Amino acid sequence: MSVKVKEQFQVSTFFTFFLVHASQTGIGILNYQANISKYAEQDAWISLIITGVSIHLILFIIFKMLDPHKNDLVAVNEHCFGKVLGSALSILALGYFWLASFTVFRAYIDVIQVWVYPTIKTWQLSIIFGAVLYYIVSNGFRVLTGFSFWGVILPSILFVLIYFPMKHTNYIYLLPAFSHPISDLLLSAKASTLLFLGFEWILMYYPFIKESSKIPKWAYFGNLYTIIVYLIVTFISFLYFNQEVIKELPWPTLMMLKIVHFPFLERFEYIFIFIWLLVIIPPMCISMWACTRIIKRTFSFPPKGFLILFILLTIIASISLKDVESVNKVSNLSSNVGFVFIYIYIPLLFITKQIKDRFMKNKITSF
Amino acid sequence: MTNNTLAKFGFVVLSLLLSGCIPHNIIDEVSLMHNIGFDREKKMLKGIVVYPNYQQGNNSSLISALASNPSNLREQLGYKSQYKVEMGQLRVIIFGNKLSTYGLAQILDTICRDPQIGIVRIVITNGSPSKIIQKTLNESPLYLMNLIDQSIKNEGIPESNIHTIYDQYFGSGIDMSFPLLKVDSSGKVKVDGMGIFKEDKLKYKISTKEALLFKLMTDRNKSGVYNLKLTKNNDSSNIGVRFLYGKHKITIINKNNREEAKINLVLNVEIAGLPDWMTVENEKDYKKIKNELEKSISRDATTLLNNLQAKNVDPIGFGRMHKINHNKWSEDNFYKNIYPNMTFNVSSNIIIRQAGVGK
Repeated sequence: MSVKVKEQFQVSTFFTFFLVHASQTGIGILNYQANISKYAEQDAWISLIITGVSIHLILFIIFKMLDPHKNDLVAVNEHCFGKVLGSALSILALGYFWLASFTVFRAYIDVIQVWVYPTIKTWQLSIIFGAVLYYIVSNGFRVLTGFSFWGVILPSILFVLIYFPMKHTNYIYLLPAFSHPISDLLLSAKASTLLFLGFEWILMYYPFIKESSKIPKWAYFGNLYTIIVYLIVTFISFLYFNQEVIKELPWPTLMMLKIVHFPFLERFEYIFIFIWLLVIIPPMCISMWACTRIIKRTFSFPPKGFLILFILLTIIASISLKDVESVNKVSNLSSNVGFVFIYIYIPLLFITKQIKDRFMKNKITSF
Repeated sequence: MTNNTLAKFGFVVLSLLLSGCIPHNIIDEVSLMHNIGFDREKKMLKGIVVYPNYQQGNNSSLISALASNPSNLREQLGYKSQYKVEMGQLRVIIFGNKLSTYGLAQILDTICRDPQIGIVRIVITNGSPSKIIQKTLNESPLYLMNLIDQSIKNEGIPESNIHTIYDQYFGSGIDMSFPLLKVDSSGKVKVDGMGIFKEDKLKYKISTKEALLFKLMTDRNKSGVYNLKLTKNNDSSNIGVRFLYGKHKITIINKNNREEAKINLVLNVEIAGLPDWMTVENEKDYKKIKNELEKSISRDATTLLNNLQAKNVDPIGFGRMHKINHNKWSEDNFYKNIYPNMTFNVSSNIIIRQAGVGK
């Protein structure tokens, strides 16, 4: 049941780091603060660590599931539930992957409309981004890996910007620390799941990476780096903004960037927003690529036609979301579906596979 | 040319062509406002806007309009302007006295949520903002901003920009404060102390001297000049003490069922213009200056804090300091029961770093 991918389409193992991290950092980082501090307030950074560590566990389960043969989600589904039911589950996963891609797509358009061009139409941006999406995804997985590389390097360069808000931080906003019960912390941890989603696409691109024995190490590093990045941004924004202010401001990260000031450049957040396009390309495209990959693996159809179909679907859906609330609703939906996918579906699939493997082994030995 | 390179070439051409499609503004053809004043007139909101008119040399133009709410005001200003009114370069917002005493809530809510507005300085004036704006009409467009920046950076006015306003306006346990502008007798605009708010209403005004002490207790930047009266035998003289840098620490402790705020200041100073009969080299004089300075600063700061307490305003943020030790903290309870009974204990430690190069 192992999946064979020709070596010319594979990428080196250490790129797993970039793939995992780049697909996790997306649009969420611009406005997640209010969501995660709703319950645990100034202690929400503990919730971030809880989620990050739990993602490590899920990654561990995923690698246990995919080894020793190079598998992917479609193969595991088929193995556990048979051809028909397995394919149906793969299609459901496809639906979730598409939703994840669409969420990033629509949320970024929303950012541009709110912050830069209030009068620009959704369809204009949708078509431009749709073309970009097609251009990148149709070129295959190796191109996506290249974009992931830049999706990690660029925001890391932007980290020097921390210097500006650092001058206005006040430590008392983090006090009183550890004042929330564990239930609040867990609620905030659930709210921060959306930030870490994206790593699960490794279920599809796993066979595209060369040495499978070293993949876990790089994937764990990728997730660790994500935790560190989010912790830094969370600490800075919690130290810069009072909790009550975070509740009032919908885009804390961008609001924080307003303080960045250069003699030759008055408003840095505009530049930041456009650089962020390169950061959202990996999550948007890898999930779209995973959709086409599922189509190819389950039905053996040529994926390019389906790619156009999916992108058309994305464009139509993004145009039909008109008001402010619906964008939030979609990201909430995507967050909830993702939560179910990684915390319920993947562990259940893992247990089913373990039982099935043992059962079959017993059968063999009893003969 | 193969099909593939043609497609790539097409993308390059397309991106070059599309980049012309974005909405753009030509600097000569927008009313790029730099200063805006708000006041209350006839139970309506009045807005006064200055924008540089680049088509007619370096002259600034002024428009004003009346409206019932902030977004309506923007529309009314638009009707009076020959070009589109843009908020993108806004640097200074001035609130008039009538509006400050009436309440700023409606307008602050609008300003704080507008993504177009960057980091602006917000100030108040004790008259009408149009007076200030008229006086600076012939100066460069950034004159007012530079004036306020300067007094915040080098003189004794505490930091005040839209970020600190978010903090003080939305946050609990602290009250808002803005620098106060006025036109002096010679017709020049100057910064003259601070206005302290309760909720969104102006409650109390403090002088520049008090503003300096206020700055010492809140800001990281502690620059400013403090006047000290020195007497020895029969001579007396006023000397200027410039604060170079320093630290402040505020702790609130419970003492005999009363909250006591301990404020500890460590200040590095430079003394300029010592009179003939005193030198820093002289051990006795040095100690005298140091002691007098410490005593004087502590006394003045305590007086300021007591005055603020009497008016029940809390720009320093004692409420916030109190909050960090109490899980179930309520703003109402603090300002009704705890703050009026609070005692203050200011101690300062002066380190004389420089005393000029003369003598």
